Amino acid sequence: MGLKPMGLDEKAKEILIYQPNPLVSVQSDGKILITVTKSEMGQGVRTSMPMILAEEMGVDPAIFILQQASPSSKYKGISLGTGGSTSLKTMWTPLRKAGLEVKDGLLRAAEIFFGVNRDQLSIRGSSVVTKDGRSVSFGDLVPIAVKLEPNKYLEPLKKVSSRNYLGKDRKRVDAPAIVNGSARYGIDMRPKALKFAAIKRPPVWGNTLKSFDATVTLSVPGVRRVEVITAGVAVVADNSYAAFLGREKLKVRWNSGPHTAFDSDDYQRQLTQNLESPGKVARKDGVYPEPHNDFKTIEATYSFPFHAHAPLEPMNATAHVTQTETHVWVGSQWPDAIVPLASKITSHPQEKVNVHVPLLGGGFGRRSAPDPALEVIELANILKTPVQIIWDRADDLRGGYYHPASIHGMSALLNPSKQEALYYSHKVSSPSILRSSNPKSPDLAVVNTELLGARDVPYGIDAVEISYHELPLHIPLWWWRAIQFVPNIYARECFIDEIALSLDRDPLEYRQSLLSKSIQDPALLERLMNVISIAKEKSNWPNPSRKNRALGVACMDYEGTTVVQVAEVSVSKKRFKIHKIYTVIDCGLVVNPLGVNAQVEGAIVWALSALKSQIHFKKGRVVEKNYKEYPVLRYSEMPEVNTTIVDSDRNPQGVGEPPVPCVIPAVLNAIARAGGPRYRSLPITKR
Amino acid sequence: MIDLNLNEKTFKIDAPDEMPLLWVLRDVLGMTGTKFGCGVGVCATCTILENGKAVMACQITLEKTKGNRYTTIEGLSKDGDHPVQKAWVQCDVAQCGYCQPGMIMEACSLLSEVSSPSESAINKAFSNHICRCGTYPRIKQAMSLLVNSGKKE
Repeated sequence: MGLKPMGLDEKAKEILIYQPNPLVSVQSDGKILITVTKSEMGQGVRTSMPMILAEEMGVDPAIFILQQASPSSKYKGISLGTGGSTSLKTMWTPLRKAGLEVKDGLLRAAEIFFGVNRDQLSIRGSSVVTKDGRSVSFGDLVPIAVKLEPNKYLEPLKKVSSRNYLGKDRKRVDAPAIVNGSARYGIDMRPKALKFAAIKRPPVWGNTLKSFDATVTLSVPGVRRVEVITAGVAVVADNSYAAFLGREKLKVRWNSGPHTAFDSDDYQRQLTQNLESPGKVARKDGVYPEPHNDFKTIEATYSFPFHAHAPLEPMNATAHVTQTETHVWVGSQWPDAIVPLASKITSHPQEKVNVHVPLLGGGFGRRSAPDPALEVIELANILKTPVQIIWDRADDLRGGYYHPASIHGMSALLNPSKQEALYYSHKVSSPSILRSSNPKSPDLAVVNTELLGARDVPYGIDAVEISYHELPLHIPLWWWRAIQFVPNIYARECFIDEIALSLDRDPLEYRQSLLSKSIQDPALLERLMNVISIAKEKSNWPNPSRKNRALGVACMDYEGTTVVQVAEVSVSKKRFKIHKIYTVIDCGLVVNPLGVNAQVEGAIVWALSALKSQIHFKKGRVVEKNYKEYPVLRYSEMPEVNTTIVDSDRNPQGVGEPPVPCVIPAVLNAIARAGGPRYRSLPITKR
Repeated sequence: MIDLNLNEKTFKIDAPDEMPLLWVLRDVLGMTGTKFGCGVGVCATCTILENGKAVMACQITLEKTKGNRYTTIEGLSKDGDHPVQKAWVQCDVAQCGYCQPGMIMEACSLLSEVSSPSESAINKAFSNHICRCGTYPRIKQAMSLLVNSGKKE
């Protein structure tokens, strides 16, 4: 060995690593590495997840070095999939367990080091100290710790006892890199000798490539190659500009497929007709009351349009396929899903497929679809040199994976003399996201998923009927921040206001009375009642802060996170302004309040953006091509935000999605109460 | 070959005259701090400074850079200690962070023009920008921090 010069590799070999758990390792040089198993897309997992581990380990999270996980068999049982507001919910126990394991190992090593019992030892900074004042650094304990047998008798996790970090505001760990421009997103990956590619894609789903002429394209300075891949025709160039310009010059002819007449307005009309189809009844409580002259039926149809995610960082992925290995760099919310599919493309075994996950410039669900990674792997497999496929905004808005349109048929039978509702029905007509994302999904799962927020209506009404009416669609559909809860809660919570209005009841107090009569999970009802009563006080319900304004309310439970939102709006000459959104949220134990507040702010922006825009199809093509046609909320439109986080010792629940759905109905209910129209169709274009 | 005055250095750029500065920065120079969002000047993600004033790098061709001085997020400060960067960290503005270089450059431009811009001037400047994550309230906080500290000085 002495023949070789001392290289970095050899030095690295001298470092011993104690890794009792795949989530944490302590090195003999004193470094503590934490593996972040969820993708960072702004929701703050790289900040909050280490806090949980640190609390259990008894150290300051600032001492950790973060590593982003790549798919690997070593994370048995832990999915790298990031979505559905499940990161802290699912990682809470594994992270605490990892903290406990590493702490136990270091303390056992320290027992040997000092020759004392555990009760003489404690952790201070990144050292173990004895009661008589001796100290040893974690790094120096590693040589002992690596020889320890795993502790089979590790004490079980107890109720959280310390809150040195949990529940305290912690600033974003990546902020310094973000503000100096060094934070790296997928689009910033620059492996050596990188080429850039743009794809000319079929303008209509189902159209196929007939022929193309790349003569002019290949004469564009910087354009190197033109290749056909499954997604379309790829123009490979020295830079993105040449790739886009070369693509513009490409002459392509397409074979027409079966969907060249598809029109989203027609489709929405079909969805309305589809409400009359038998559908699948998911819930039927009680019996429809015997008719009576005093009873009154009210009905309403709500519509929700197609939406894109439009994260600010357009879709992109970078790959290098060598003879033996596949590397892909992609801001993915679901890197695990890419591995087997990539392996099929490059014929490399799955353990030779390396998915590297940089920061995501927004995800919102779109980045859990594997398409950008797979198309670049296909191209890189042809080129055998590193290449990045970059989408422009039109590619992004026209590239599918939409949140689908839906129509909601609502009806209720009321007894006005008793000011009560006797029957409530919600029919959802839509194409199924679940079936589109996985055609093998069983019907029961489809119905339950598409009815999220509709089927679980918590109110105490004697007769309730909820059904799903599926209308298949050829366009790929995908998960979108707060998923089906958004359209379903919009219809449900607006219609509850319509019922309250018909019964001449205050909408907030009416919800309280419906919940008090409900026979659903008492813990859930208690949480709902609690957040509502706090919101009532905070918003000074029913009195708006100024004369010409009105308040509107909506509430829900989002798989364990309970939310109520109150909007304050004013209406004049058919224009409305949203002044303030109050949110009261019970999301279980709060890990990072600063992060929870940010997620609520973000959820409000997401929901209010959805009031402004939609994706249309005309003759099979998507009409919108940029933020001009697909507008989102701007700075000047941002209402004041007033958020109350309810303290709780339940395990942490989700935060990113739960504060989205109620914003829309709260605003629409407020507009109606302010003397504006009752909007039952989105977006609202007249402002 | 065009001389590009960028972050107080001169770069010799061999690229077509029509290439937007955005791609010169990102793909020719490999300076990826300036981000691509829309390419048509509607999201302001790629905002940089031209002679101290905010411009969108996707809207400036290489040819038009002649005689001008440019600053990108990488050139704003050596150690991330520009007052705007500090205020952004202090107010924990960023979520995904992708729009923030553009927002920060906008703030620098605005504050260099007038040390305490009015609320409507702030509204106007940032309403060119898109943030999908929802950092607007914290941008507002950071701006009010900067405006107030400007007033004290």
